[in-house]
Amino acid sequence: MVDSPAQTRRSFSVRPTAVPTESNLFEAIAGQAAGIEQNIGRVISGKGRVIRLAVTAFLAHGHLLIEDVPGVGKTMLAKALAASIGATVRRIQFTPDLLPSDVTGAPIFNQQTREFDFEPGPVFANIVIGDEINRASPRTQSALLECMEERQVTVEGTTYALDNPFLVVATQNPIDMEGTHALLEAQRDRFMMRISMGYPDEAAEQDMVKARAHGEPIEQISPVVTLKTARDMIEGCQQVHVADAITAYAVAITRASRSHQALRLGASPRAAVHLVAAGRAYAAMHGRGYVLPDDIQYLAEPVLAHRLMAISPASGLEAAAQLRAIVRGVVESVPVPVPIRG
Amino acid sequence: MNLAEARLTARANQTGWYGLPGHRPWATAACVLLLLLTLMAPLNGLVEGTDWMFWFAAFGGGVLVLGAALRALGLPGWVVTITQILVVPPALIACFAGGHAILGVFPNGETWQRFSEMGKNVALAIVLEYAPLSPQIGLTALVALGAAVVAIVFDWYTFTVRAPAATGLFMALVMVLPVAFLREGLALSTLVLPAAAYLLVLAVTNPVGRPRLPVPGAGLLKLFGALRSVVVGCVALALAAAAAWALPGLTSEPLIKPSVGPARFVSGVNPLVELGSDLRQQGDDEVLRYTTDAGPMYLRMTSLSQFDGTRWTHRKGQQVAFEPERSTKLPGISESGLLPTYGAQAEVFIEITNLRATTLPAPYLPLAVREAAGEWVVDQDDLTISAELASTTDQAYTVTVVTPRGLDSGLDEVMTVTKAVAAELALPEDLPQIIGQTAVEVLAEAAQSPDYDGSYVAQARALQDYFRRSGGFTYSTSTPVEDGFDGDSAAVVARFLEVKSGYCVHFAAAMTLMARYLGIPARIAIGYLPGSPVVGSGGGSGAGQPVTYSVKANQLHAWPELYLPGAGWVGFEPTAARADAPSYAPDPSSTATSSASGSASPTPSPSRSQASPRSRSASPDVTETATATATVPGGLAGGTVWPGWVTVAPGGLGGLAVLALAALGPMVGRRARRRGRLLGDQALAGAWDEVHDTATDLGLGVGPALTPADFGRHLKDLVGGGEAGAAVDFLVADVERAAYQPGGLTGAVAGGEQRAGYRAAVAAIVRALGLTVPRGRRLRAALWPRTLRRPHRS
Repeated sequence: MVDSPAQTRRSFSVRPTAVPTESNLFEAIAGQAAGIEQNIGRVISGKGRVIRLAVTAFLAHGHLLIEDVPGVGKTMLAKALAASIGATVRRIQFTPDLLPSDVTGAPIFNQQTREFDFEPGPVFANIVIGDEINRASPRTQSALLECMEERQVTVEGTTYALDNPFLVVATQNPIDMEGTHALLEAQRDRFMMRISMGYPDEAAEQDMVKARAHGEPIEQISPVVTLKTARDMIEGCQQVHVADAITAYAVAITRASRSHQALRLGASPRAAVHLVAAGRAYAAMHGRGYVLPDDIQYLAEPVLAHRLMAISPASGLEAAAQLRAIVRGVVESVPVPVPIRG
Repeated sequence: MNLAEARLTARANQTGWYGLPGHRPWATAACVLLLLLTLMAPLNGLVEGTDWMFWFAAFGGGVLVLGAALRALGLPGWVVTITQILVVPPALIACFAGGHAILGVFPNGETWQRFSEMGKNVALAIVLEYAPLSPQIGLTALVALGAAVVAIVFDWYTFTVRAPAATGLFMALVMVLPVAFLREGLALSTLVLPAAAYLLVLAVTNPVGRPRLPVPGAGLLKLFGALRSVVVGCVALALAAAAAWALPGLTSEPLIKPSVGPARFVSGVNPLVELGSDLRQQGDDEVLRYTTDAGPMYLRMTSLSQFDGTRWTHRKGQQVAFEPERSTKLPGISESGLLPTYGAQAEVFIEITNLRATTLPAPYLPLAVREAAGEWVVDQDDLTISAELASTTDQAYTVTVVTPRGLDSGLDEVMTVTKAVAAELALPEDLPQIIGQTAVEVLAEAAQSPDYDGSYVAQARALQDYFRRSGGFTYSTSTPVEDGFDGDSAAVVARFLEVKSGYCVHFAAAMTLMARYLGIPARIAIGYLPGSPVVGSGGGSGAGQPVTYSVKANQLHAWPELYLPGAGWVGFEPTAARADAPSYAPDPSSTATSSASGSASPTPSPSRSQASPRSRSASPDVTETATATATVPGGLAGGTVWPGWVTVAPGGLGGLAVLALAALGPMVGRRARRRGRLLGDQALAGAWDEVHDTATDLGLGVGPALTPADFGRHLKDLVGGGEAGAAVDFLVADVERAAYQPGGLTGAVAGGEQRAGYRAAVAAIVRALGLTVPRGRRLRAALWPRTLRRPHRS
C-alpha cells in the first residue's frame, strides 16, 4: 500500500498478525507442509487439492480413504507422502483370502527359544497403504479398522503399539463392486476423510507419461522433513485454537446433516471431532493459530460425505458426487457464527 | 445479473409500473394527479371557502405521489395500495385530531370520540344544510378522506388493474355529489377540465403504436409518442371548450337541477342545532328586506318553548286567522286595549328575497298581516305566523305591529301564571345544578346594586347584564363545536356556563332556563337581527321617512323572550356581540347614552317615539360592527382576525409532513441505525453488520452461510481493489481475529481510534458498493431498505 498522506489519514490497513510467538510455530508448520505438498506435487501433477487434503489428514492424525478408478495415482499419492516425510511405508493388497493376521502380524514359533515370537504385520509402519480394501473379507477389514482406531495391535493377549505417526491410506474402486464387501458405515466413519483423485487433465496426464519414461518417479522423491519433525508438526497442529463458535459451527453442520431430508444417515459425533481436528491442521498449514469457519467449510465435503447414506443412493462414482452435493447443501444451510460482540 | 437482481426485475414487471413497453410511469402518475385535481372544479361550491381545496389536493396528491414513489421502487401493486390505505388514517388523525391522539397520530378513545362527534356534526350538516356547507373541521376531514379514497382508487385502477379507463366510472360517482347537493346542479363547464385530464390519462397509458424496436429515429418517434398524448389532451380540451362555448345555455344554466330550493330556515327536527349550523355556514346573501318608518326591528319567525332537557321545540298553540278584530285575544294585549308597555302601531313592508320557510318573519308584536299570498294563520300563544301550504318564497307583505314603549311603569308586581304561560316555566327534571346556581348567584350579585329592586324586570335585566357584561362571556360560533358541546340540551347549557363561550343559541337557552328557574316564564325566539339600511333608501332623510333595511342570511338569531307580568312577552338580548341590549333593558354602562339619545341601537321592538334621525343613521354602523366581530371567536375582546388559511396552513403542513415522514420513515430509520452502529460500543460488530445490511439493501446480499472471508471476497469482487478493497480486507481481518482468535481483539475493539478506522472503512465500502448498482436500485435502497425490518446481527 502506498503510504500517501490521504491513506494514512484513513487508518484502516491490514495489521500484521497479532500473536507473534505462536505464529512462529504455525508458520513453521505451514512452511514444512508446503514443502511436503510441493514434493508430492513433483510426482502427481495437477492434484493440488487432493495433495493438500492428504497432508491435512496426515497432520490431523486421521486416516484417508481414497476412492477412485484404478490407475489415477492413488497408491502413488500415499507413497509420495510417505517418502516426503521419511516415514516407513507398507502396502497391503487386500484380497478375499487375506487373513487378519496377514494384516496385524502373528506369533511365530521360534525354534531356538522354543517360544512364540510376534512377527509384526504390515500395519507396523508409519504409513500403511491398504489397496482395494473392499476386496477383503469383513473380518480382515475390521482387523485393520481396529488398528486404525486403537493405534495398537493386540495378539494373543499382548498389545503392541503401532508406529507414530500412523496413517492408513485405504483405496477402493467404486466401479468394480462385484465380489467385494463394501465398508460398513461404522467402518467408513473411522476414516477422517475420503477423497477422490479424479482423472488428471490432459497436460498432467502427459506429464505422468513422460515421468515414467525416466524410471519409477517415486524413487526421485526424497524426504523433506524428518519423521521427528513430522511428529512435531502433528503435535503442533493440536495447539491450534478452536473458538467455541467454531466448535458450535462444526457441531451444527453435523447435526444439520442428521435432519437432512435426503439422508438416511447423517454425520456422527465423531465426524464433528474429525472435522475440527482436520480444521486445526488445515489452519496450521496456513500458518494460522486459529480455525476459521472457512476451514470447516472447506473440509466439510471430504470429512463428512463418506459417512452419509442417501435415502435413494446413486451408483458408482455418482454416489460420492451425490453425497458431496448434499454436504454442500447442509453447509449452506448453517449460518456462520461471527461472535464479534464483546 | 445475479439472482436477486433477476428477481427484482421480474417483480418490477409484475407491478405494472414497468410492465408496459414504452410505458412512462411518472408521466402517467402526473396525469392521474392532474385528473384528481381537476375534479375540484365540479365539486366547487359544495363546501364554502377554499380551504377544502387545499386538503383535497394535499391528501389526494399525497396518496398519488406516495403510490408513484413506492411503485418506482418496484413494490408490488397490492403493497402499494395497502400502504396508501394504511397511511391515510394516521394522516387524518394528525391533521384533524392531532391534539386528541397519542403522539398526534395513534388513535385512542378520545380520538374516536372526536371523530364520532365530527361525524355527527357532518351528518347533521349534510342532512340539514344546503350547499355550500359551512367549512367545519369534520367536513374538511371528510373532504380529505374522500380525496384520499378517490386517489387510491385511481391509483389502483391505473397501475395495478391497468384499466385507467375505469377511473371514468369513479369520476361519474364523484359527479353525483354536485348533482345531489349543489343549488345550481352540475354545470357542464366544470366538466371540461376533468374530461380533458381523463383523456390525457387514457392517451398516456395507451401503448398502442409506440415504437418498440431500436430502429433509427426511434428517439424521434418516442418524442412524437409523447407529443401525441399532449396533442390528444389539448384537442380534447379545445373540443370541450368549443362545445361549452357553442352551447351557452348549458354553461349558464344547471345541467341537472336539484329539487331543493334556495331558501332555508329552521324547520327540521332540531331547530336550534340547525340554527347553530346556519349561523356558521350561511353567507351574507340577503334573505329579505323591509321598509318601515319605525326604525330597525328584529324579525321574529317562531319561538321555542317546550324543553325536554335535550331539545327545544315549538309549542303549537291554537291557530287563528289573522284578523285585526281578534287581536285583543293575543297575549300582551289586554281587554282594554294595548298594554302600557306597548307604544304606537307601525306598518312594516317586508319583501322576501331569498328565503324559504313556512313561517313569516315579522316584528313583534304583529297585529295583522296583509297582502301575503296564501293562507296564513297565527299561533295565539306565541304569534308565530305560519302556513300549511304557503311558503315565504317571493312573498311581499305588510305587517302591522305595535312597538314596545318601555318597562318602567305599569308593570304588575305579582306573576299570574296563566295556562298560556305555564309551559314556559317548565324545567327538565335533571336540570344541571349550575344553571339554577348561576341564576341565584347573578341575582345575589345584582342585589348589591342600589338600583336593584327585586322586581321581575330587575331580575331579567340582571340576567341580561350577566351575559352581556359581568359574566365574562365571549361570542364564538366555533368553540361549542370544538369543545364538543354544540347543541341545545341542558347539559350543553351547563357546559356553556362553564366555558363562557358560545353563540346566540347558547346565550338564549341559558338565559331562558335561568329565567324559568327564577320563576319567570321564558322562551327562545328565533328570527333575524334588524339588518342594515339599504344605502340610498332614505335612511338619513329624517324622522318619519321610511327606511329600507336589508337582512342577510347570517343575521339569523335566537334571543330569549321573558313574560313579565303586566308587560307580556318581552325580548331580551344577552348576546352582546350580536346586537346591543334593548332600550328597555339597556346595558348599565350605556344607560346614560341610551336614555339620552333614546334607542341607540336596533332593539327587539324599538320605539318609534324614541327613534331620532341621528340615532337611526348611526345604528346601522353599530350593527355592522357587531355582526362583523360576531363571527370571530373572542370578538368582544377585540382579538386579531386571522384569515382561515393561516389557521389551516399549519395543519396542512403537518399533514404533508406526516405523508413525507411515512414515505421517508424507512430511510430515516435506516440512517439512524447506521449512525448508532458506527458510534456504539460494538464498533466492529456495528461496522460489520452495517456493511452486510448495505449490501443487502442494494440487492447484493449474501446468505448467512458465508464466512467473513467469503463475504469479503464477494465485496471485493464488486468494489474491486483500491481504497474500498483495502477497507474490506481491514474489516475482514479484524472480524476474523475478533471472532476466532484466542482472546479475540484484545482491548482494541472499543478504542476510539479503532472506531474511527471502522467508520472510515464502512464509509469507503458503502460508497463504493453504491456505485456498483444502477441509480434506481440505489434510490430504492435509500428509500425502502430491505433490512429495515431484519437487520443483520453477527
